[in-house]
Amino acid sequence: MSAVAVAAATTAGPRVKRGWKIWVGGALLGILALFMLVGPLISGYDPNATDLEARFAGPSAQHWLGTDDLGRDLFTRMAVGGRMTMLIALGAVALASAIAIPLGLLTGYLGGWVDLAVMRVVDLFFAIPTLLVAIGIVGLFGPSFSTTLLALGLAFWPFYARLVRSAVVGVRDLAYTDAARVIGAGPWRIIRKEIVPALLPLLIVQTTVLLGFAVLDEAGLGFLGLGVQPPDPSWGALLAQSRGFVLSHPWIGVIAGVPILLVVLGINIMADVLRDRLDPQGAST
Amino acid sequence: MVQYIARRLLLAIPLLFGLSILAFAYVRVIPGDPVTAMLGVNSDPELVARLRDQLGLNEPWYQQYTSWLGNVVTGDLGLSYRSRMPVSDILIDRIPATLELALGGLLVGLLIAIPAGLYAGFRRGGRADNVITGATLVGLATPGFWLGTLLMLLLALQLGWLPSQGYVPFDVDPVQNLRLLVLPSLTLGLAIAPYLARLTRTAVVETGGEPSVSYARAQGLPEGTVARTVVLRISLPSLIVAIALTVGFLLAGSIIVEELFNWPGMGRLVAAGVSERDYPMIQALMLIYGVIFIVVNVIAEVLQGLLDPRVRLT
Repeated sequence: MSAVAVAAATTAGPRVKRGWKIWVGGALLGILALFMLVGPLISGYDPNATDLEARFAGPSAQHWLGTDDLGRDLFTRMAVGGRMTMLIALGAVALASAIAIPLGLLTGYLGGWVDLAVMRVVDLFFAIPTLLVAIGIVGLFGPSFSTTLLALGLAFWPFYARLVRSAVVGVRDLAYTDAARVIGAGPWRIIRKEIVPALLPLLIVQTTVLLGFAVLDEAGLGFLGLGVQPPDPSWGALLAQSRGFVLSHPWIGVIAGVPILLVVLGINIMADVLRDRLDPQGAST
Repeated sequence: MVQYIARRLLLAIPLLFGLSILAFAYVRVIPGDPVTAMLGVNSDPELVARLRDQLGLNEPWYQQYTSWLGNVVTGDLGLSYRSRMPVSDILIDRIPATLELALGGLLVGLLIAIPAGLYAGFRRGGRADNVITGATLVGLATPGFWLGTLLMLLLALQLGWLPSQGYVPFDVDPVQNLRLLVLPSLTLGLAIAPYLARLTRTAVVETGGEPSVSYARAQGLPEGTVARTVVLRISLPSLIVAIALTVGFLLAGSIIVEELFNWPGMGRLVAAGVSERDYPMIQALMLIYGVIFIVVNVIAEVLQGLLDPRVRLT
């Protein structure tokens, strides 16, 4: 339903807002990507190397963002931790998409009891807070890098599957899918050639939105001590660590949240831009 | 109307059933065996065998399920692996604190989001809309616990206006209880406000084109009156349902906020339960959070039906 007018919309639509949005979003993500990829190389520190002489050092020429309770360089740990967080978020979104997109396509196209059964399972997942689902999965396998990825992926797929399904239902009976059916195309061909291209804008936008949620929830799990485990850094793990001395040394807790805010903001702005460009009917009115 | 309510209630039953299956299955899919999880890996095999028998783990799963469900319905949620106390007793102690926090957070969230969303939706495309939409975008990207840390540092440590963390029951010291409630509920409220504001704005934009709104304007009513009386009144039914759906965010948020402010509610049991591998506790918490969500949403749908007769017909 949302994607029919894609071709028309890439040229039409309000251009006024898009200009600054794409620059702001792009700049945020670009700077942070640079920070994560190049930061550890130019700082010259090992993220896990302790230096008890320099505990809780403030920002200085040696340590640009200061050091933590074990004298580890915070700039390096935040950059390396960002890599971890982004890897988890990307992996979780990939996992959720790998489950949700085929399931959504299948249930939306076939309807009937398959649809009914899968959607009741999805309803069930809606009733339990995402974070609690993720925490429950961490409870099964123990906290680690890969568990966090798995837990977030498994917690996210139901939302995505429902969205894909309802979008499929919207285009399933439109004239052009009917036309394909009339000329003898099988279900597989219709899904591949008619439905998936129509859904592509929605899929791109939703994957982006989900990525933002994944970064926030990684941080949430980390904050509870259920994410990446010490001594390895991730943005969530850094926040968890900073809780131990937030009253005596608030600096670490304060700056640890900044890259999360900026990355998610950048992702959300880009999602808006993509929505405006690709999926004008779903664009915020 | 009675028929409508009955249908809503009936629809909740399969959901509750599914939830119970999920919670039951959860403890069964633990790698290894619940008894080993309970007693530790190097326990006496004879003791393990006896406990397995005692817990009914040798019976077929559907018998285990029915007897477990029977217990749950009568309020017996099993024993906590850690404290050996009944899970239901522990939960009952914790529920009031969580409810207080959730209500406080919801109140703060609504007080910010409803006026903001109403104004932005009503003045769609204007400068105020841009500012509010921009603030929403930043709010959605802000991790709640980080915001809470900043509020704590600012309002409690720098300015000293409020106690930084802790909890006193309301019946012991009402004033201190409320003072301690401010920071956590402010954090939770600010965390859910962007979602609520967005929902409100969408609802208002959708109803803004209704004939009754144009009519109210044509009568010469001031814009503020149109917004408060006509637009809000029309959007209210769909808004209630939308707010009920954010209860999930509210509950998830409370898990983190309770941890941050040492607020002794159910949420703190979640992290503790997982790190101590207290499976009956995690199972009970899944059930409780799920039931709260389902019940709140049924109530919201019933309210929607009461306020908007059209909903009852579909």
